[in-house]
Amino acid sequence: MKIVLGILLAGILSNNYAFLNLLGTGAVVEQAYSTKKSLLLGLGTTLVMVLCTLITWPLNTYLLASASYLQTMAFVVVLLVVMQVLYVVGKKLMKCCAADFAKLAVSGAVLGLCVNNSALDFGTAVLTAAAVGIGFMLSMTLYSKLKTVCIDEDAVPAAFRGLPISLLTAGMIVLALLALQFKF
Amino acid sequence: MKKIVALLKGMPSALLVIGAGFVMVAGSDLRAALGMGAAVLLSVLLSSAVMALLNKVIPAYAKLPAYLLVITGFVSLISMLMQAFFPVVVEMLGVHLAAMAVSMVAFRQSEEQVLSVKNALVTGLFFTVIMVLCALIREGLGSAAIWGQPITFLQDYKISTLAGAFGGYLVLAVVLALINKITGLNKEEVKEDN
Repeated sequence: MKIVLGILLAGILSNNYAFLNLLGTGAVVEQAYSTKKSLLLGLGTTLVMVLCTLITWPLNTYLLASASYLQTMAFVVVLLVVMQVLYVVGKKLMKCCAADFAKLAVSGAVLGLCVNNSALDFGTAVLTAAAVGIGFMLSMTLYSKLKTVCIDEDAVPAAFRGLPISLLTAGMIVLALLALQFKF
Repeated sequence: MKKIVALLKGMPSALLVIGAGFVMVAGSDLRAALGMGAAVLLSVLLSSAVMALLNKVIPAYAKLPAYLLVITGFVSLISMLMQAFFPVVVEMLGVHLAAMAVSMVAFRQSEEQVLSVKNALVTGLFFTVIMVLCALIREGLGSAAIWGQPITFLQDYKISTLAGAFGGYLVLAVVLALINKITGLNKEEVKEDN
């Protein structure tokens, strides 16, 4: 139980993929979504991560053992197929955010997770995928809330408007997450 | 300056799509910055060149899978070459080298115009320049080193926060703001928003 909790907390907080591992950061900070949309997109991304891990882990362990140079290509193909299948299945829910879901699902976070998980055992890999997905959802929701509530674009100097202020906002969340690692 | 601004128009948004994360990861060390910059430049350039040649041959519904295969092929090739010749750089970049493949796909998907080799070259070079700038600041002031070699007189004055995760966000934000100020790119975007 302690191990499970440790993996969950690591994936959500201290090993947050979007803000600390810098995988999929662009997709998260590109736009500030509403809370409902953030949760929906995060849930979709979590599902993609778990499904991709379920497929890529056995693929890597049993089929790609002697052809590791094909790993990236195989994982990207799996990722795209899973994303398409989920989109077709969840069309009604995803209508409001189909393009954003595609951007998030096809972000470096999912591929990076699959590559990192190939070094773990199956159970740990799936649990890590779920934890990282929840962490991704948390990152998006936190960032969106912070950006919409605390940042007034009109008060920001012209040179900092757009991407620079988005990065600084994300940096504030990073500081909070780094406190959990006692690293600065 | 006007020519540079015209070339760079839209770059910050392209940079975001392509992966601000890579800049922040690679921006902690000059070697990693140059390695990642070269990898991005080569992969975008080569894949754009191949796709430009095959553009009229491939039907519209097959363009994304075709581009996907081409880009991941080139990224895998470049990763293997870097692993052979620059293993230190690959160790620094880790999984981001592989994750670059999907960002390249996302970048091309965001381009609504015909694939352009010139555009790819400009993007790759711009990306590299930004990473090198960030690396010089973060490694120099954050780790008191350049190219892994310590700078003795700065050892007592290093700001270790800059070398960490937060430093990546801070330095990149400041560098982009400086570029916005110097080139006036942001003014056009702000005018469009208003």
